[in-house]
Amino acid sequence: MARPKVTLVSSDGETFIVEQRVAERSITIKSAIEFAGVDGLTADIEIPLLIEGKVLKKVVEWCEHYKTTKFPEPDENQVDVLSRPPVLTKWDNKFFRLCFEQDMMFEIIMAANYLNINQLLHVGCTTVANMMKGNSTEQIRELFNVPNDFTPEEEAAIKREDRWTK
Amino acid sequence: MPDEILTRIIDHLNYLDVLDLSLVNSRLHVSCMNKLNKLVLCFKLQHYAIILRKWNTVTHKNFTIVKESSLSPDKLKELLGVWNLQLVRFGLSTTTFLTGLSTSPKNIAQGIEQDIRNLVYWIKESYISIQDYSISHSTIICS
Repeated sequence: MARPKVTLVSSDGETFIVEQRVAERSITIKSAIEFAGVDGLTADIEIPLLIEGKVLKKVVEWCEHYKTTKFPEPDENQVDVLSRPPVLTKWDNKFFRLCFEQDMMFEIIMAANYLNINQLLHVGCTTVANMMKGNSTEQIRELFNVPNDFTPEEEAAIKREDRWTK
Repeated sequence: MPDEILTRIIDHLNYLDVLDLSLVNSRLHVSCMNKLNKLVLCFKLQHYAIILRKWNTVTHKNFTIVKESSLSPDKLKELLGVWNLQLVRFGLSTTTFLTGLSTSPKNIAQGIEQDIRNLVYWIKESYISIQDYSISHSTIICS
């Protein structure tokens, strides 16, 4: 008997048929599958998701790529993620570079958060942090298109507070 | 973007990058301040914690941890000179860029701000190891 397939449906109606193990990279989807068949999935299942098709496509791509990879379990006692930074593979770098070029970096991270795909969330946040490092305030604003809502006085006050480190 | 994600991103940044990010806009500023509050090791929070290690003491346990509350910049300069210690590269990571501080009076007078910037990086890098030895934030600044 053929293994049951999981169909992920995006918010704009796009469908992605994936293997169960690919879908179960997401804890959210895994829970939904378990809810549907406590003793194991015996029939195909369709899972609607609040994620746009183009974003879901990228997430599925990531899950497909890492479908057999065993990631370390997140440590609940970990105070600071810096203690265990994720290793970004060449594939990850390329994946996120394309996401950024396609203006989808943050959507991917948000989707990873929503779908509870810890590793994707972790490497996504690391990538963003790496992009910020060493950049000036103005460069960060430009890079991520963040508006400056400080008044000149407020900005000056903050800079004054930080004068010892600048 | 949810705070949870923002916090994760900020957690990957070091002290100086967080400071830059805090200036980008007000929401980021609030998030960054939360991060900075976690980094109580830094003198920015008016606990001018100074972690010093003698040049020739190489084991982590020989760390000398010194705390001076509300240490003024002048007092800091003075102490650095009096102790005549050198901060050395901790060797935890290749990204640690503190490669040794000269504590000659001339350098202290001229380069104290840069030295402190280096120190912040170093504290941040060292923090990982300090955690390994089960020393909490509060212990570090109070030892």
